[in-house]
Amino acid sequence: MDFTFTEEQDKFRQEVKDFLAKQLPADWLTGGAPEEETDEWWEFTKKFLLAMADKGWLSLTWPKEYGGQERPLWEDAILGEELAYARAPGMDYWYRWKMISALLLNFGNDEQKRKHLPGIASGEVHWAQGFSEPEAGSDLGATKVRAEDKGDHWLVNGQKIWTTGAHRSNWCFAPMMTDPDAEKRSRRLSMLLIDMSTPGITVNVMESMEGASHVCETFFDDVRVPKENLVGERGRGWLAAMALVNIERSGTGFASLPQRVLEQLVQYANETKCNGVPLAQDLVIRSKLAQIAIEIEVCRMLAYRTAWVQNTGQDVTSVGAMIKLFGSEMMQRISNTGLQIMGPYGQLEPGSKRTQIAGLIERDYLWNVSMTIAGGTSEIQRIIISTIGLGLPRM
Amino acid sequence: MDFALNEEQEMLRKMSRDFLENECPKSLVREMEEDEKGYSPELWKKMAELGWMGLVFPAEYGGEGMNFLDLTVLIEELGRALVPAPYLSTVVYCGYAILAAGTEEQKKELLPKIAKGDLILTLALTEPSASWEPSGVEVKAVPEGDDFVISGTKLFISDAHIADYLLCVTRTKESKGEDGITLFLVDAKSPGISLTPLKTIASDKQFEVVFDKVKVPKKNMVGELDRGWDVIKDMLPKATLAQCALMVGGAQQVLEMSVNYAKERVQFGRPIGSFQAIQHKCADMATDVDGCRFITYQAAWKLSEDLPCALDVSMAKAWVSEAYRRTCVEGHQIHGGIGFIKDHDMQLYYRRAKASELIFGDADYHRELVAQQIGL
Repeated sequence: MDFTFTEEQDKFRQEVKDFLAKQLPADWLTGGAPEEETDEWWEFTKKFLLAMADKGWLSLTWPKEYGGQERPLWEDAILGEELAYARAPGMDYWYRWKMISALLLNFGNDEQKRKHLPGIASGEVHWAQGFSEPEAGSDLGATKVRAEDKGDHWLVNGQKIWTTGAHRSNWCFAPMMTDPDAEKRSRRLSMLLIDMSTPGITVNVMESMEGASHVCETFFDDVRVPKENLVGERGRGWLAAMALVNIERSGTGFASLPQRVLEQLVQYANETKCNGVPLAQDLVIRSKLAQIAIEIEVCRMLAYRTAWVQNTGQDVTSVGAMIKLFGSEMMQRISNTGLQIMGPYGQLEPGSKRTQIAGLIERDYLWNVSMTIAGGTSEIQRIIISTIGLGLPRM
Repeated sequence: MDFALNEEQEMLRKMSRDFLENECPKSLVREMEEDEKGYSPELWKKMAELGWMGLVFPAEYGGEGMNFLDLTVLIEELGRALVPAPYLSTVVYCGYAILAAGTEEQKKELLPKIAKGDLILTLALTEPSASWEPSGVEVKAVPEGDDFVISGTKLFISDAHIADYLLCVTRTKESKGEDGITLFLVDAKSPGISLTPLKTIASDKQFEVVFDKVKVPKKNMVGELDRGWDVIKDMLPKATLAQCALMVGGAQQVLEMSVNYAKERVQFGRPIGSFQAIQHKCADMATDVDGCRFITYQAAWKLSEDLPCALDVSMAKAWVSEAYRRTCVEGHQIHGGIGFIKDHDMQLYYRRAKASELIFGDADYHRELVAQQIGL
């Protein structure tokens, strides 16, 4: 066992920290960040992602032959940790970056790799993910957006939903029904790459309760997709999708963003007096904050364990589900506790007069509702852990 | 980062698990709950022959020269099998204290005997105030010629009835703080010592120990006069983590028992493990068990590597105390009625989980220690 990073890894972490300090304004966490998903935010995010690309961090772990840095997976885990800690912009774009590059590297043919990887590495081409449908949420196998084989092209019709960022994206990767008559449900789907500028695609943005506008639904109306845009084997789209959600779930950011929140809450409790006494002297508040610190440490262990399993090349399905389950539920508990500690100040939004900690935790409290749903609900994670991890019989 | 045990640790785990499956069946655990001694001298001897008593002592004192992380692996297995033996009392609480602070003569005299299984020791720290802090130490030791004379009451003292020596934590100077505390190895047969057994939730053997003008020779002092708390401070993280390791082993076993039961138990024509209500419980248990394991092993690893670990130890004890209890509660719910019947193993774990939770500070106690270390 060894619970430290190597000197080289520490050096890389410092490099990321220095990069973030340079790229993000000093008041980034105290009100300097543009409101999410405004045009101003998107311009800043694009610039930030280009700077990440300049560093080679959008192709960090790829093989050299595809323009990658061939760095160990641990550096990717460290990068994810530091980005989340800094609340860097475009984190969900970054996660989709990881998914699309994994899709192409693992399942794509040479031509697809040559065509798409450079744009991903340079940070210029943005990708959306088209997994869910109105009737296929947790039950991804029920995907019914149809991609009909028309000889020289696929003809796509139907609706995807939760295609986050689709309105800003140039391309989309999505499992679609190519073989409705296949006996096995999982053999009916194939993974397609879709140019978002193709005629027949409509994107509708849905505003979520915290005010961000990046959750989308995407409609396909007689959309012609070239035949060569099939990734991997026909009828194996479900398998590819499952491999990708493991990546989505196995992030190290689950512990590091809450760590930042904890530090801010500790500072708040030390600096804020109630009835003339600092909140930090209140035994209940001390206990609550300590509990947050402990949960974050447990979360960090589960996150590092997942990264370790990934690094050793073992299956990450169950342990990835575990960190996703624990991390997302913990984030909800933490933002809830945070607002309680702040009392009536907790309800103040970013930009309000007298807002505390820039209203970040109020924003988290609203946004975190989606954490136990997006990327697979907590209920689905529990089923994965108990059936794949513990071998319990399926329903 | 490396979450795997090394080859030697894997061997120790496998060997100890195999050995305890054969030598420490649950029938023995039940028998020892009723037994006056509460441990099997025969099993104790065999454990010593395997080198377990001297696992962490240097070879020159008859030990195996292994480290605290190795010990954690072994203790996890003791917790899994619920081994009824004065192991933590002898090896962790007292063995480490003597190793760290004993004179060369004491070490040469005592450690090889512990390693051979010929000596049982226990720590007499807590008093009726049930405090883990120096302010809780009020039992007095007063110098008299070549002796000290100890008077007062110690409480919740494990294995005192079978111990050859009690490592007694005494007050040698008027003070409430760390200063003025001195440790003595007191021969358990000394005149003036009286034991009253307590009846406990885990059916383990704990005692009230009254010292009535008990004489102990000056040479039995462990560590320096008035500086005894330094020794305790060094030992407490090890004792606390040893309890965590016991709980990790217990929690792992409860998880496995419950998952196996959920696969076999049929209701409504199918295994209950196919119901999501049960699956979700099992997933939560597995998450708790893994969290317990890694937060404990991280702290144990830091301790082994001589890195600062006070925060990690308190985090581990706070988390594991509650997560192990949750795991047992879910385990009982999965087992239904049969789990709370005495003949079933489930209840053995449930009762011990509470005992481990309460010793060396529960979650509330350690959360306050965490609060002090995160800048509050």
